[in-house]
Amino acid sequence: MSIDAGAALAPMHSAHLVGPYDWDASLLPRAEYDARLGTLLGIGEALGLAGIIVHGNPRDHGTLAWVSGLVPRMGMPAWAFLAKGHAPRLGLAGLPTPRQTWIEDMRLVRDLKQEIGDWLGAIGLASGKPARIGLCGAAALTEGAYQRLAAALGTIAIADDHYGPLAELRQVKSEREQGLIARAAAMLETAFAAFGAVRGSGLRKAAIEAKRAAYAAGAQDVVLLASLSDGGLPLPLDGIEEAESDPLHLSLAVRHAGYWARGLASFGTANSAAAACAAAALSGLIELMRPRLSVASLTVAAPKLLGAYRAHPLTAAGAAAGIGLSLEEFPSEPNTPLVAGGVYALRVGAAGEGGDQALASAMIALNADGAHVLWRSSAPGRSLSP
Amino acid sequence: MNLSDRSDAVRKLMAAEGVDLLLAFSNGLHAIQAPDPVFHLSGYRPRDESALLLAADDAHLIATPAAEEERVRLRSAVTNCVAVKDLSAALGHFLPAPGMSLATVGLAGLRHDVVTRIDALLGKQAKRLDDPFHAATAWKTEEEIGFARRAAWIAEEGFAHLLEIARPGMKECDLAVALKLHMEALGADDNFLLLSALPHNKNVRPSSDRRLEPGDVVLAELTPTYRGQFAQICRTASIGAPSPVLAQKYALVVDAMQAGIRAVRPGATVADVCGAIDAVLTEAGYGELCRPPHMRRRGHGLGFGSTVPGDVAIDNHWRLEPDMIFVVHPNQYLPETGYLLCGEPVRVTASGVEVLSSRLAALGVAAG
Repeated sequence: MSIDAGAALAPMHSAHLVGPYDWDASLLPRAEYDARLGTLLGIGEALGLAGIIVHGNPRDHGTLAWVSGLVPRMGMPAWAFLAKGHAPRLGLAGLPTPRQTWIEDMRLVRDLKQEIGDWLGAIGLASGKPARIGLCGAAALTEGAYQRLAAALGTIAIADDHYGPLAELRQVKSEREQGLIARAAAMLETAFAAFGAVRGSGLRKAAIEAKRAAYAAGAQDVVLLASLSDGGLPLPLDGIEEAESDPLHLSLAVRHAGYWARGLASFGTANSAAAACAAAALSGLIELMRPRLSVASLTVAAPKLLGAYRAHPLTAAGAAAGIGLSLEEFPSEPNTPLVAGGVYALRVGAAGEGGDQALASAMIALNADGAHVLWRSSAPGRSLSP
Repeated sequence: MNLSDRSDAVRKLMAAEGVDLLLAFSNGLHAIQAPDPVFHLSGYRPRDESALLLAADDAHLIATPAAEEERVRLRSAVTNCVAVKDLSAALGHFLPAPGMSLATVGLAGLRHDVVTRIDALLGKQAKRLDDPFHAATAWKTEEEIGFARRAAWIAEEGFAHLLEIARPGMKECDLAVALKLHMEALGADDNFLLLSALPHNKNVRPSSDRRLEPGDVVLAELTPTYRGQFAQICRTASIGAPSPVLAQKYALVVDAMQAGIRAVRPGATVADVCGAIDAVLTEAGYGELCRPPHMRRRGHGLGFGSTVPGDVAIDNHWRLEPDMIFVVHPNQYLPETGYLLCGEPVRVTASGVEVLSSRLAALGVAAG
């Protein structure tokens, strides 16, 4: 049995995010956003689009963050309204957070239909006039929001992005973006170390200390999933969990300046052989990584690196995924090639008998000169598992 | 009252509406103002889109993603539960249901593409039963009331911690993170924590990188959930000694809040509660500020399950019933002081009101 690791490791969405979300121009200057916006509107123009609406909500806001820096923090959606020759607008269903973005025109959206109608008027489009509008982030749109959007646009056609050309653009990270992900990866290490340092004093306490350490290091958000039973899949902690399972699989994700780093590791008393196997397999996968190789190739290679161990169900279906402004980015299709400039989360798991099972993972920046390890859960001579 | 009684109440509604099978949906997004029918009926807080199918003598819960299998079994009161990769495909085992009358709750919150697939299974006959569903299940269970009391206690401990640690130079967002983790250590599993500060606030905002300064007025909506049940307290604190006018005006909004709380009783409307608050502030000369665009609501329901009775607003004529839980918060802008927060979570009792917090709001003072 194998499962979709991206879905399995998805966060429990929070009612409100409280970390440091203000836009820091020293980390991502206005010029970077101007360039992104120009590129996006250029794509739109080539496709004959009169404007582009970018939607984001707590589940998926990667493209919204890419153009605006904004992360919706209050469980509700946000929208960017973009058109060539017109100042960009942002609309939020929750309270406006103007310090979070470079976009100056931010509005509280109580009536989406009215807000869109107002924007269409501002860019010279009345509903009824033949035109096409691009829509990014459509996959996360709720039915209610979609119906309001469609009603507002009237006869104006919607061109859904379907992760087309923009996906390719977002997959390649600039040097600055790679630097931010590297910082997130350092915070990830801090969080894992804090968790490990207080293990044995209760799962909830260890989880809180991991989060505290990551926030103190500059994280915006920390997502922690942990086994609720011996060797169980990592799950959200929303009960009164205190007992630490053995082995305990831990998934930690840390966001910094919008960019995520994520790692998987295992702790246990009887899984050292599996942990060593997973670590060795991870090293093997890292050596294989190069531009133009597909995720599918890595996934096929992983079991061969595990010797007598079986592939863990969590990692059997996919050995790597892109990571950046979304936890699970491109390539979404397993046969899509990895690219130079991409950043990837690698994961591998070894499953033996009983509790002899372990997960290992790494964050890899892939450049023309090879794979650069930003973080890894374990290495020969170093293991998170005691 | 318990979750079984809640399902019985829904079944009674279904019988009255001629519905054989109700499909209740959750989108797993957990906005404070959006109800979660799956959580409301099962006690399971979904991580992603999920459905609960309720018939006269049967109930099934379908959760996504597939990795939720262990958790849904741990948390759900509905024992027929399964976690799957594809919600609409799993619904295909139950639908179409020829000859059965269908209804839905929460469908508009799901992703558009998922609804397109589910609509094809439902056909055109399925009723949207959202409003009657929430009206029939507005009350909290005994367990949820206990959780709300616990959440209120956590919130009060959170505010006490704020007064201990807030000081000039500290960033709003660092203070918010410290409070969130403090409340998490006390058992909170989520938190809608709004916290911001200025010498003269126009409103309360999500925390920013701004550093606290002497003379700031800190506004905080502390809203932890305990086992998925929210409670909210709204509090105001001064960094350093408060000015006499701040203390005086804060006493006024507390008076207004107490008038609102006194108006809470079975049979009263939500508008009555709002009107009682407005009357105190109008009497003090702030009537203009009690109307839009200055004022929209004086409180709201508390989920995750049900957010009934909705916004405490002058046009909300929802009639209060025993065991409804909501927050009463005047949260008023006054020209002399700026925006001030005070609010308490309350439960409608058989004869009046229970304030779930142990101490009513008082102007806090942190080290200046």
